[in-house]
Amino acid sequence: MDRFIDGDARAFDLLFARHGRTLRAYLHRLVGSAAVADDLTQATFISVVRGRGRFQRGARVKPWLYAIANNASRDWRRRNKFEAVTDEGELPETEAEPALQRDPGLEKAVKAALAQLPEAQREAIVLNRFEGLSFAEIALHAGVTESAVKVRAHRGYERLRELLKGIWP
Amino acid sequence: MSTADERLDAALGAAGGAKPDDAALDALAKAAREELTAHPKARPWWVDGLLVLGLNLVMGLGAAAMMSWSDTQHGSSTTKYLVATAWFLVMAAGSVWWLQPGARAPRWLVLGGFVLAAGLSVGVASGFDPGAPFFRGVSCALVECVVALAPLVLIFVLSLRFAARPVHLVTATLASGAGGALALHFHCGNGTFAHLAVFHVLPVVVLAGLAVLIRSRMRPTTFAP
Repeated sequence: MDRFIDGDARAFDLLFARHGRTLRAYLHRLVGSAAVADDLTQATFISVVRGRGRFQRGARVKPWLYAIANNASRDWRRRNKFEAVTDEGELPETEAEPALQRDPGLEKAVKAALAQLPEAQREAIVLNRFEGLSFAEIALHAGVTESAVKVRAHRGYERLRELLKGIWP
Repeated sequence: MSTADERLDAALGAAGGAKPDDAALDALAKAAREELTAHPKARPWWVDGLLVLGLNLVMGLGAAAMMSWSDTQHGSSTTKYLVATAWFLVMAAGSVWWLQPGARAPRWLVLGGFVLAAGLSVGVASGFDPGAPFFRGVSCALVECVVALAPLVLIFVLSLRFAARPVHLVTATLASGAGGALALHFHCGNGTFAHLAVFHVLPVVVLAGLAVLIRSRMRPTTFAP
Protein backbone atom coordinates (compact mmCIF):
# COMPACT_ATOMS: atom_id res chain seq x y z
CA MET A 1 0.00 0.00 0.00
CA ASP A 2 2.88 2.35 0.79
CA ARG A 3 4.31 1.90 -2.72
CA PHE A 4 0.88 2.55 -4.20
CA ILE A 5 0.50 5.74 -2.16
CA ASP A 6 3.82 6.85 -3.59
CA GLY A 7 2.46 6.37 -7.13
CA ASP A 8 3.68 2.86 -8.04
CA ALA A 9 1.30 1.60 -10.75
CA ARG A 10 2.34 -2.05 -10.25
CA ALA A 11 1.38 -1.80 -6.59
CA PHE A 12 -2.05 -0.59 -7.69
CA ASP A 13 -2.37 -3.55 -10.08
CA LEU A 14 -1.55 -5.89 -7.22
CA LEU A 15 -4.12 -4.20 -5.01
CA PHE A 16 -6.77 -4.51 -7.70
CA ALA A 17 -5.87 -8.13 -8.43
CA ARG A 18 -6.19 -8.94 -4.73
CA HIS A 19 -9.41 -7.09 -3.96
CA GLY A 20 -11.16 -6.17 -7.24
CA ARG A 21 -13.18 -9.34 -7.68
CA THR A 22 -14.30 -9.72 -4.06
CA LEU A 23 -15.16 -6.03 -3.83
CA ARG A 24 -17.31 -6.27 -6.94
CA ALA A 25 -19.10 -9.34 -5.55
CA TYR A 26 -19.68 -7.45 -2.30
CA LEU A 27 -21.14 -4.48 -4.17
CA HIS A 28 -23.33 -6.85 -6.18
CA ARG A 29 -24.69 -8.22 -2.90
CA LEU A 30 -25.38 -4.69 -1.70
CA VAL A 31 -27.07 -3.26 -4.80
CA GLY A 32 -28.42 -6.40 -6.51
CA SER A 33 -27.36 -5.41 -10.02
CA ALA A 34 -24.22 -6.45 -11.92
CA ALA A 35 -24.15 -3.30 -14.05
CA VAL A 36 -24.41 -1.01 -11.02
CA ALA A 37 -21.84 -3.13 -9.17
CA ASP A 38 -19.45 -2.58 -12.11
CA ASP A 39 -19.99 1.18 -12.00
CA LEU A 40 -19.51 1.28 -8.25
CA THR A 41 -16.38 -0.89 -8.42
CA GLN A 42 -14.97 1.59 -10.91
CA ALA A 43 -15.94 4.54 -8.70
CA THR A 44 -14.48 2.79 -5.66
CA PHE A 45 -11.05 2.31 -7.25
CA ILE A 46 -11.00 5.86 -8.62
CA SER A 47 -11.68 7.01 -5.04
CA VAL A 48 -8.93 4.70 -3.81
CA VAL A 49 -6.48 6.50 -6.11
CA ARG A 50 -7.74 10.02 -5.42
CA GLY A 51 -8.14 9.50 -1.69
CA ARG A 52 -5.00 7.48 -0.98
CA GLY A 53 -3.51 10.48 0.83
CA ARG A 54 -6.12 9.81 3.53
CA PHE A 55 -5.06 6.21 4.06
CA GLN A 56 -3.26 5.75 7.37
CA ARG A 57 -0.01 3.98 6.63
CA GLY A 58 0.24 0.72 8.52
CA ALA A 59 -3.54 0.24 8.76
CA ARG A 60 -5.33 -2.72 7.12
CA VAL A 61 -6.29 -2.02 3.52
CA LYS A 62 -9.40 -4.18 3.32
CA PRO A 63 -11.59 -2.26 5.79
CA TRP A 64 -10.63 0.99 4.08
CA LEU A 65 -11.56 -0.37 0.65
CA TYR A 66 -14.92 -1.62 1.90
CA ALA A 67 -15.62 1.71 3.60
CA ILE A 68 -15.11 3.42 0.23
CA ALA A 69 -17.33 0.85 -1.48
CA ASN A 70 -20.03 1.46 1.16
CA ASN A 71 -19.84 5.21 0.66
CA ALA A 72 -20.09 4.78 -3.11
CA SER A 73 -23.13 2.51 -2.80
CA ARG A 74 -24.80 4.89 -0.34
CA ASP A 75 -24.28 7.75 -2.75
CA TRP A 76 -25.77 5.65 -5.55
CA ARG A 77 -28.80 4.79 -3.40
CA ARG A 78 -29.32 8.43 -2.49
CA ARG A 79 -29.30 9.44 -6.14
CA ASN A 80 -31.58 6.58 -7.16
CA LYS A 81 -33.79 6.30 -4.13
CA PHE A 82 -37.01 6.65 -6.07
CA GLU A 83 -36.08 4.05 -8.65
CA ALA A 84 -33.99 1.62 -6.68
CA VAL A 85 -36.69 0.05 -4.55
CA THR A 86 -39.84 -1.63 -5.76
CA ASP A 87 -43.24 -1.28 -4.10
CA GLU A 88 -42.46 -4.38 -2.10
CA GLY A 89 -39.27 -2.79 -0.80
CA GLU A 90 -37.01 -5.03 -2.85
CA LEU A 91 -34.15 -4.14 -5.12
CA PRO A 92 -35.09 -4.51 -8.79
CA GLU A 93 -33.45 -7.11 -10.98
CA THR A 94 -31.83 -5.11 -13.76
CA GLU A 95 -30.51 -8.07 -15.68
CA ALA A 96 -31.17 -11.75 -15.96
CA GLU A 97 -29.50 -13.45 -13.01
CA PRO A 98 -27.37 -16.48 -13.76
CA ALA A 99 -28.61 -19.91 -12.75
CA LEU A 100 -27.99 -20.11 -9.04
CA GLN A 101 -26.16 -23.03 -7.60
CA ARG A 102 -27.00 -25.14 -4.59
CA ASP A 103 -30.47 -24.01 -3.46
CA PRO A 104 -31.96 -21.44 -5.84
CA GLY A 105 -35.17 -21.05 -3.85
CA LEU A 106 -33.33 -20.28 -0.65
CA GLU A 107 -30.88 -17.97 -2.37
CA LYS A 108 -33.67 -15.98 -3.95
CA ALA A 109 -35.46 -15.73 -0.63
CA VAL A 110 -32.27 -14.66 1.16
CA LYS A 111 -31.45 -12.09 -1.48
CA ALA A 112 -34.93 -10.61 -1.24
CA ALA A 113 -34.70 -10.59 2.55
CA LEU A 114 -31.30 -8.89 2.45
CA ALA A 115 -32.67 -6.23 0.14
CA GLN A 116 -35.35 -5.43 2.69
CA LEU A 117 -32.88 -4.72 5.47
CA PRO A 118 -31.94 -1.12 6.21
CA GLU A 119 -28.64 -0.28 4.53
CA ALA A 120 -26.61 -0.03 7.73
CA GLN A 121 -27.80 -3.45 8.95
CA ARG A 122 -27.10 -5.08 5.58
CA GLU A 123 -23.58 -3.63 5.50
CA ALA A 124 -22.83 -4.79 9.05
CA ILE A 125 -23.94 -8.36 8.29
CA VAL A 126 -22.29 -8.74 4.90
CA LEU A 127 -19.01 -7.10 5.91
CA ASN A 128 -18.71 -9.11 9.10
CA ARG A 129 -20.00 -12.46 7.93
CA PHE A 130 -18.67 -12.60 4.38
CA GLU A 131 -15.83 -10.17 4.06
CA GLY A 132 -14.28 -11.12 7.39
CA LEU A 133 -14.07 -7.61 8.83
CA SER A 134 -14.25 -7.26 12.59
CA PHE A 135 -16.94 -5.07 14.14
CA ALA A 136 -14.18 -2.71 15.29
CA GLU A 137 -12.89 -2.32 11.72
CA ILE A 138 -16.37 -1.67 10.35
CA ALA A 139 -17.00 0.86 13.11
CA LEU A 140 -13.75 2.73 12.55
CA HIS A 141 -14.51 3.53 8.93
CA ALA A 142 -18.26 3.97 9.35
CA GLY A 143 -17.58 6.64 11.97
CA VAL A 144 -19.69 4.94 14.63
CA THR A 145 -18.92 2.96 17.77
CA GLU A 146 -18.23 -0.77 17.74
CA SER A 147 -21.31 -1.42 19.86
CA ALA A 148 -23.44 0.49 17.34
CA VAL A 149 -22.23 -1.86 14.58
CA LYS A 150 -22.94 -4.89 16.78
CA VAL A 151 -26.45 -3.61 17.46
CA ARG A 152 -27.00 -3.08 13.71
CA ALA A 153 -25.82 -6.61 12.93
CA HIS A 154 -27.92 -8.08 15.74
CA ARG A 155 -31.05 -6.24 14.56
CA GLY A 156 -30.28 -7.24 10.99
CA TYR A 157 -30.07 -10.93 11.94
CA GLU A 158 -33.30 -10.66 13.91
CA ARG A 159 -35.03 -9.14 10.90
CA LEU A 160 -33.51 -11.76 8.57
CA ARG A 161 -34.78 -14.53 10.82
CA GLU A 162 -38.21 -12.92 10.77
CA LEU A 163 -38.18 -12.62 6.98
CA LEU A 164 -36.83 -16.15 6.53
CA LYS A 165 -39.16 -17.78 9.05
CA GLY A 166 -39.35 -21.48 8.35
CA ILE A 167 -36.11 -21.43 6.36
CA TRP A 168 -33.65 -20.19 8.94
CA PRO A 169 -34.26 -20.87 12.65
CA MET B 1 -26.00 -32.50 6.28
CA SER B 2 -25.50 -28.73 6.38
CA THR B 3 -26.80 -26.59 9.20
CA ALA B 4 -29.27 -23.74 8.66
CA ASP B 5 -26.41 -21.28 9.24
CA GLU B 6 -24.28 -22.91 6.56
CA ARG B 7 -27.17 -22.91 4.10
CA LEU B 8 -27.77 -19.23 4.81
CA ASP B 9 -24.07 -18.48 4.31
CA ALA B 10 -24.10 -20.29 1.00
CA ALA B 11 -27.19 -18.42 -0.13
CA LEU B 12 -25.80 -15.05 0.88
CA GLY B 13 -22.49 -15.87 -0.76
CA ALA B 14 -24.22 -16.70 -4.03
CA ALA B 15 -25.99 -13.34 -3.92
CA GLY B 16 -22.71 -11.90 -5.23
CA GLY B 17 -23.90 -13.03 -8.66
CA ALA B 18 -21.98 -14.20 -11.69
CA LYS B 19 -18.27 -13.52 -11.66
CA PRO B 20 -17.05 -11.33 -14.53
CA ASP B 21 -14.20 -12.65 -16.67
CA ASP B 22 -10.71 -11.31 -16.06
CA ALA B 23 -10.76 -8.87 -18.99
CA ALA B 24 -14.11 -7.37 -17.97
CA LEU B 25 -12.94 -7.05 -14.39
CA ASP B 26 -9.63 -5.49 -15.40
CA ALA B 27 -11.47 -2.91 -17.50
CA LEU B 28 -13.04 -1.61 -14.27
CA ALA B 29 -9.59 -0.46 -13.13
CA LYS B 30 -8.83 1.48 -16.33
CA ALA B 31 -10.10 4.85 -15.11
CA ALA B 32 -8.29 4.45 -11.79
CA ARG B 33 -5.03 3.64 -13.60
CA GLU B 34 -5.41 6.77 -15.73
CA GLU B 35 -6.02 8.81 -12.58
CA LEU B 36 -2.90 7.34 -10.99
CA THR B 37 -0.81 8.16 -14.07
CA ALA B 38 -2.14 11.72 -14.07
CA HIS B 39 -1.53 12.20 -10.32
CA PRO B 40 1.28 9.91 -9.18
CA LYS B 41 1.91 11.84 -5.98
CA ALA B 42 -0.62 11.49 -3.19
CA ARG B 43 -1.50 14.59 -1.21
CA PRO B 44 -1.44 13.87 2.53
CA TRP B 45 -4.58 14.99 4.38
CA TRP B 46 -2.63 17.23 6.77
CA VAL B 47 -1.41 19.45 3.91
CA ASP B 48 -5.01 20.52 3.37
CA GLY B 49 -5.37 20.94 7.13
CA LEU B 50 -2.41 23.30 7.19
CA LEU B 51 -3.98 25.28 4.34
CA VAL B 52 -7.17 25.78 6.36
CA LEU B 53 -5.13 26.63 9.44
CA GLY B 54 -3.14 29.23 7.49
CA LEU B 55 -6.27 30.86 6.13
CA ASN B 56 -7.98 30.84 9.53
CA LEU B 57 -4.90 32.42 11.11
CA VAL B 58 -4.77 35.13 8.45
CA MET B 59 -8.49 35.89 8.75
CA GLY B 60 -8.88 35.55 12.54
CA LEU B 61 -5.65 37.17 13.68
CA GLY B 62 -5.76 39.63 10.76
CA ALA B 63 -9.23 40.82 11.74
CA ALA B 64 -8.19 41.06 15.40
CA ALA B 65 -5.16 43.14 14.44
CA MET B 66 -7.04 45.41 12.03
CA MET B 67 -10.02 46.29 14.25
CA SER B 68 -9.88 48.54 17.28
CA TRP B 69 -9.53 46.86 20.71
CA SER B 70 -11.75 47.34 23.71
CA ASP B 71 -11.34 46.02 27.26
CA THR B 72 -14.81 46.69 28.62
CA GLN B 73 -16.04 43.20 27.61
CA HIS B 74 -13.54 41.44 29.85
CA GLY B 75 -13.90 40.63 33.52
CA SER B 76 -10.15 40.88 34.08
CA SER B 77 -6.88 40.72 32.17
CA THR B 78 -6.52 37.06 33.11
CA THR B 79 -9.95 36.07 31.80
CA LYS B 80 -9.36 38.17 28.68
CA TYR B 81 -6.34 36.07 27.70
CA LEU B 82 -7.86 32.83 28.99
CA VAL B 83 -10.85 33.19 26.66
CA ALA B 84 -8.62 34.35 23.78
CA THR B 85 -6.43 31.26 24.25
CA ALA B 86 -9.49 28.99 24.27
CA TRP B 87 -10.80 30.49 21.00
CA PHE B 88 -7.33 30.27 19.45
CA LEU B 89 -6.93 26.61 20.39
CA VAL B 90 -10.34 25.73 18.96
CA MET B 91 -9.43 27.55 15.74
CA ALA B 92 -5.98 25.95 15.42
CA ALA B 93 -6.90 22.39 16.40
CA GLY B 94 -10.19 22.34 14.50
CA SER B 95 -8.55 23.63 11.30
CA VAL B 96 -6.38 20.52 11.09
CA TRP B 97 -8.27 17.83 13.01
CA TRP B 98 -11.53 18.09 11.05
CA LEU B 99 -9.67 16.40 8.19
CA GLN B 100 -7.93 13.69 10.18
CA PRO B 101 -8.97 10.25 8.92
CA GLY B 102 -9.94 7.47 11.32
CA ALA B 103 -10.25 8.24 15.01
CA ARG B 104 -13.17 10.43 16.04
CA ALA B 105 -11.69 11.65 19.33
CA PRO B 106 -9.91 14.76 17.94
CA ARG B 107 -13.14 16.07 16.39
CA TRP B 108 -15.11 15.54 19.58
CA LEU B 109 -12.31 17.28 21.45
CA VAL B 110 -12.74 20.33 19.19
CA LEU B 111 -16.51 20.28 19.72
CA GLY B 112 -15.94 20.08 23.49
CA GLY B 113 -13.36 22.85 23.21
CA PHE B 114 -15.86 25.06 21.42
CA VAL B 115 -18.46 24.54 24.15
CA LEU B 116 -15.83 25.35 26.76
CA ALA B 117 -14.60 28.46 24.92
CA ALA B 118 -18.18 29.67 24.37
CA GLY B 119 -19.04 28.98 28.02
CA LEU B 120 -15.98 30.87 29.23
CA SER B 121 -16.62 33.72 26.81
CA VAL B 122 -20.12 34.40 28.12
CA GLY B 123 -19.48 33.19 31.68
CA VAL B 124 -16.48 35.30 32.68
CA ALA B 125 -17.38 38.49 30.74
CA SER B 126 -17.65 41.79 32.58
CA GLY B 127 -21.39 42.24 32.08
CA PHE B 128 -20.69 45.77 30.85
CA ASP B 129 -23.59 47.17 28.83
CA PRO B 130 -22.67 50.04 26.48
CA GLY B 131 -26.34 50.99 26.28
CA ALA B 132 -26.66 50.48 22.52
CA PRO B 133 -29.88 48.93 21.16
CA PHE B 134 -29.76 45.12 21.36
CA PHE B 135 -29.99 44.57 17.61
CA ARG B 136 -26.97 46.74 16.90
CA GLY B 137 -25.15 43.57 17.89
CA VAL B 138 -25.95 42.26 14.40
CA SER B 139 -22.75 43.96 13.23
CA CYS B 140 -20.77 41.59 15.47
CA ALA B 141 -22.49 38.59 13.86
CA LEU B 142 -21.71 40.03 10.42
CA VAL B 143 -18.04 40.49 11.27
CA GLU B 144 -17.88 36.89 12.45
CA CYS B 145 -19.48 35.61 9.21
CA VAL B 146 -17.18 37.72 7.03
CA VAL B 147 -14.07 36.46 8.87
CA ALA B 148 -15.27 32.85 8.46
CA LEU B 149 -16.34 33.18 4.82
CA ALA B 150 -13.07 32.55 2.93
CA PRO B 151 -12.05 29.59 5.14
CA LEU B 152 -15.56 28.16 4.70
CA VAL B 153 -15.26 28.24 0.91
CA LEU B 154 -11.95 26.37 1.20
CA ILE B 155 -13.55 23.90 3.63
CA PHE B 156 -16.35 23.14 1.14
CA VAL B 157 -13.86 22.53 -1.65
CA LEU B 158 -11.73 20.24 0.52
CA SER B 159 -14.75 18.42 1.95
CA LEU B 160 -15.68 17.26 -1.56
CA ARG B 161 -12.41 15.33 -1.74
CA PHE B 162 -13.56 12.73 0.79
CA ALA B 163 -16.74 11.31 2.24
CA ALA B 164 -17.19 14.07 4.80
CA ARG B 165 -19.77 13.45 7.52
CA PRO B 166 -21.64 16.19 9.39
CA VAL B 167 -19.18 16.06 12.29
CA HIS B 168 -16.33 16.94 9.89
CA LEU B 169 -18.20 19.99 8.61
CA VAL B 170 -19.28 21.10 12.08
CA THR B 171 -15.73 20.83 13.42
CA ALA B 172 -14.30 22.80 10.49
CA THR B 173 -16.94 25.51 10.68
CA LEU B 174 -16.54 25.91 14.44
CA ALA B 175 -12.81 26.36 13.88
CA SER B 176 -13.39 29.12 11.31
CA GLY B 177 -16.06 30.68 13.51
CA ALA B 178 -13.64 30.60 16.44
CA GLY B 179 -11.35 32.84 14.35
CA GLY B 180 -14.16 35.39 14.08
CA ALA B 181 -15.02 35.01 17.76
CA LEU B 182 -11.36 35.64 18.64
CA ALA B 183 -11.33 38.87 16.62
CA LEU B 184 -14.58 40.01 18.27
CA HIS B 185 -13.26 39.08 21.68
CA PHE B 186 -10.66 41.82 21.40
CA HIS B 187 -12.81 44.29 19.42
CA CYS B 188 -16.27 44.25 20.97
CA GLY B 189 -16.87 46.27 24.14
CA ASN B 190 -20.21 44.68 25.05
CA GLY B 191 -19.84 42.28 27.98
CA THR B 192 -23.48 41.29 28.50
CA PHE B 193 -24.47 37.63 28.50
CA ALA B 194 -27.27 38.13 25.95
CA HIS B 195 -25.07 40.01 23.46
CA LEU B 196 -22.22 37.50 23.65
CA ALA B 197 -24.53 34.47 23.44
CA VAL B 198 -26.69 35.79 20.59
CA PHE B 199 -24.17 37.70 18.46
CA HIS B 200 -20.83 36.00 19.20
CA VAL B 201 -21.65 32.32 19.83
CA LEU B 202 -24.96 31.68 18.07
CA PRO B 203 -23.83 32.80 14.59
CA VAL B 204 -21.04 30.22 14.65
CA VAL B 205 -23.51 27.49 15.57
CA VAL B 206 -25.89 28.63 12.81
CA LEU B 207 -23.01 28.68 10.30
CA ALA B 208 -22.11 25.11 11.28
CA GLY B 209 -25.70 23.97 10.71
CA LEU B 210 -25.83 25.72 7.35
CA ALA B 211 -22.51 24.19 6.32
CA VAL B 212 -23.84 20.69 7.03
CA LEU B 213 -27.03 21.43 5.10
CA ILE B 214 -25.22 22.84 2.06
CA ARG B 215 -22.60 20.07 1.99
CA SER B 216 -25.32 17.40 2.14
CA ARG B 217 -26.57 18.71 -1.20
CA MET B 218 -23.15 18.51 -2.84
CA ARG B 219 -21.68 15.38 -4.40
CA PRO B 220 -18.15 14.39 -3.39
CA THR B 221 -15.52 13.65 -6.02
CA THR B 222 -14.20 10.71 -4.03
CA PHE B 223 -15.70 8.35 -1.49
CA ALA B 224 -12.59 7.82 0.67
CA PRO B 225 -13.41 8.04 4.40
